Amino acid sequence: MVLYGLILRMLHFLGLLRTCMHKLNKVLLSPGLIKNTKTTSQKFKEDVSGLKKRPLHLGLLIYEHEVSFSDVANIIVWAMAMGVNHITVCDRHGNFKRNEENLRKEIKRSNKEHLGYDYKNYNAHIHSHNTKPQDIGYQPNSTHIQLHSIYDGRNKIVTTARKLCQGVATKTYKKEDIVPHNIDAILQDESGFPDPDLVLRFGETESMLGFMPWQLRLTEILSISSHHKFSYTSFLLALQSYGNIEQRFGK
Amino acid sequence: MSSEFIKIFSSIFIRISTANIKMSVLGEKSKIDTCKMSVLGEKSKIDTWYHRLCQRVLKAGPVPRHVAFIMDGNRRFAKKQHIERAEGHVKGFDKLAETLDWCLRLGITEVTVYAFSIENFKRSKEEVEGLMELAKQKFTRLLQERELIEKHDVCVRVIGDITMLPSDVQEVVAEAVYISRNNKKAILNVCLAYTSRDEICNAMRECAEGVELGIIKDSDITERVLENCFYTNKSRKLDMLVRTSGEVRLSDFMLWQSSYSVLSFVEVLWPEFSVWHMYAGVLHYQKHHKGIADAYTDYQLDQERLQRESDLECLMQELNLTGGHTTSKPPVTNLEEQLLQYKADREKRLENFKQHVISKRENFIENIACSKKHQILGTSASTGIVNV
Repeated sequence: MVLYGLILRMLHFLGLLRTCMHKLNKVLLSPGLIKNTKTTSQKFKEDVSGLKKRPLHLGLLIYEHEVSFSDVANIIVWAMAMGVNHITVCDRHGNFKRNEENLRKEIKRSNKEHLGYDYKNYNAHIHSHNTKPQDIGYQPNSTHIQLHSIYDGRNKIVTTARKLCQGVATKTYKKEDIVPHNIDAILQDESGFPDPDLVLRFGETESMLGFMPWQLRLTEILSISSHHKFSYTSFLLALQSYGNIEQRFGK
Repeated sequence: MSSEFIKIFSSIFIRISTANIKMSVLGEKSKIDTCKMSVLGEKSKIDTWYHRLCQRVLKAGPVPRHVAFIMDGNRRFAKKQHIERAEGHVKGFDKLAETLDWCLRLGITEVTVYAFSIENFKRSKEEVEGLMELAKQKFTRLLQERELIEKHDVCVRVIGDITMLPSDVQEVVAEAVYISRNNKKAILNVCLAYTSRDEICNAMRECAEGVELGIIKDSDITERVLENCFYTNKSRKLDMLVRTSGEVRLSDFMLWQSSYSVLSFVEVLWPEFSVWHMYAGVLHYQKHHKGIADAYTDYQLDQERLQRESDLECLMQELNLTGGHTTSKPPVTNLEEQLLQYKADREKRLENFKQHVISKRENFIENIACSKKHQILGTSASTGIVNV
């Protein structure tokens, strides 16, 4: 029994070694790549035109102990410049949700840094408590951001269920009307956000951890080991692999 | 990450595997045949010393108890191999039988498979009919092998809205579920006419009925109550979800239940899924299991907190309502007791409700299963009691 345990440990150690080598490789290779990619709004436009499709709603699930506001702000700005209209940010301890102002500042900084003189053309609207995209109305080049904690997704389903049950009990809602199409309409109307097309899942834990279960239906999930020092090149690679995915919708 | 493990594995074991193939071609052909033909293969081709070694090694660490599979890639496999689509599905089914055997050997006692989604009804008529025929055939076969089900102590459950299926399929499926309902050792959940959103809506409707009938209050509804109304309400927590064919989405499968499960996206097409992928999957699970267990503990604590708050709020509301009649407020020491009482009452309501939902489903299955019996027995069966 002890022997088997030892062998198992060795196997896991080998796996770990492999991932470490992989990371080391990446670190050794990446500085050259970063220098080559000077980001301007023109560059973003070129990169977008090279994509087969782009996500309209991007989810960022960050399950790491430490979060970096500046790295997340960078991702948001890149996504914004590439025409992503909706972004959901969710992290383990709800740090972003609690420090909305901090994120807003970082986005402003990153915006100036990456988009240069064009930065005024892009607007980021953060919705965390009472506002939703519909309140602002349509504006070109604007991106809506919602901040979530990992428990929000399931919670929303429960509160909706309670409301509908009250409705059924008081005969204001029909039980037969509780079907996916209607529930989806209710949830989308409440948040003002469509279902995410792509989720970038940061962290070593390969799981969704309660992130928007209802909305995840057709979402592509890409795993990335950390959001710290996440480079534009890696971001572009992620979007490219999203662009190459085909969906069949059950057919 | 799992693909890396597979690479390691395949490089270590490639010689052994080729040896295995040669061996099975030469001498053990009959064994493979039996494995392919029945749902619960008697003898398996993975019963060799190195397979047993791998199993023992893996079992030295945590092994998932409940694994779900999205068996994707049957049609692409058929295209690749230039065979008929239907043939691809048959191959996929054979693979499922093998996989169940591997799981049992590893100590995975509950397996859930995505056999047919509600969305799949949109496929061409021939393909849907073919798949239904296949399901019917396999379940009929399962019924013929009843001794095997008993011997292996396997419980088959159906997950999904089976009223959407053709009635003949409904009948065989219900009968298989009914005759195996008391088996304990291994559980196979077959998702037929299933989508996760449909399941969530069905759970909401169940809750609405519970509130209407006065079994529960609307304020009682929590995540746990919804879970108790899911088709998977008798299942243990889902530990790992495996999707083959390299797709990286859940496609409306176990959206809720997989929240705290390890996700494993495997590159190969389902009919090509091998025991080495299975072993790699378990290694992958072991790597992530700790992180998820921690997250799950956090989640449970948060749920408890919410429950306490909700109990207190509901109790205060009740007291305020009755407080209109009595002028004095209840003393604080009493409040604690009342809170405990409220909690106990709520637990009782929820237990009743859970029983209500479960027995409703059981009766539903039993009715379909028994209606079939009646048809077969025809006029000779005058009594309502059917021996199974």
